[in-house]
Amino acid sequence: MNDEELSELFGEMREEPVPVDSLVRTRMRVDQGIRRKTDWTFAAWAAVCAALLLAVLFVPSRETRTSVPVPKTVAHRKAPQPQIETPAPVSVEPAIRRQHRVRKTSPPPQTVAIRIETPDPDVVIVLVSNDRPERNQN
Amino acid sequence: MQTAALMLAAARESANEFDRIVRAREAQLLRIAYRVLGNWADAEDVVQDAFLRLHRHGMEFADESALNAWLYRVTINRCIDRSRSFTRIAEMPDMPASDFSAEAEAVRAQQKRRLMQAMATLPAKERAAIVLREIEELSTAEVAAILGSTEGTVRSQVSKAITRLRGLLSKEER
Repeated sequence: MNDEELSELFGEMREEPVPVDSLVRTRMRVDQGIRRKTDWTFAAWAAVCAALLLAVLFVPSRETRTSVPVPKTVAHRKAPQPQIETPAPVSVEPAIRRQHRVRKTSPPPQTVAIRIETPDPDVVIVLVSNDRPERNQN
Repeated sequence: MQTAALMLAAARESANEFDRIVRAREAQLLRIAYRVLGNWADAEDVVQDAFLRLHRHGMEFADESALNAWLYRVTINRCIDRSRSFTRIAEMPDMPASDFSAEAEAVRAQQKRRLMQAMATLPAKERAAIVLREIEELSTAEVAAILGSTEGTVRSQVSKAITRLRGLLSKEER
């Protein structure tokens, strides 16, 4: 095969049409690929937007807190007293107070003395009695 | 609202532009991929991938020729990657109706089949150079830009490939 024949063959190859089913398949696959990508992109954007919206709604920024002017009527009004919840009354039984037993103190021992004078003036008999009970020696 | 409408219009315009490019280029890219890879299934995969890459890349090209060069480059690179990973025996393409007689047509079909089989034995880069330069008739400079080499290298690759093809085909004829 010489160069001329070879270039003729190349030329014929250039003119050959592409099979229609191959063209259709390629186009369909490209469309599907793009649609899949678009769906994913849309889903990703939707998720990002939802996250941002939630962040804006639920996280108050510092700027918002400081820049909002307080209305005069509110500013001069006394702050409401915080209401403290009183706990429910607890039923407590009254404490039983026991009275201390008063220890009975024994009266001071009474000493009784009996003086007996004898005929002898120098002798005087003195009987001294103590009414404290005697301790048991046992 | 106006911004949203403008964005929507731009997206629609971009989609239309993409569709136009696909319709204009798909046949040629499929043909190139088929000649390099030797079968339609792989050629379809490669061209689909090239168009999806184009969609991701966006239509930001200086002009039509820059877009074409980009598409050729992506397609050829994917073809070379594929043909490195495996080699398939070339299929015979469907032949179009021509003014040849049935017998002459059969002979011609046979010659083309043998040429495709001979091309399948070439290294991937040489095969790509032959397809772009000899079949698609791109200029040597364009082929060099697509393959990422110099014009001298492309000329050498084409010349070497043609010599090898001629040798293979003459051997078969004998």
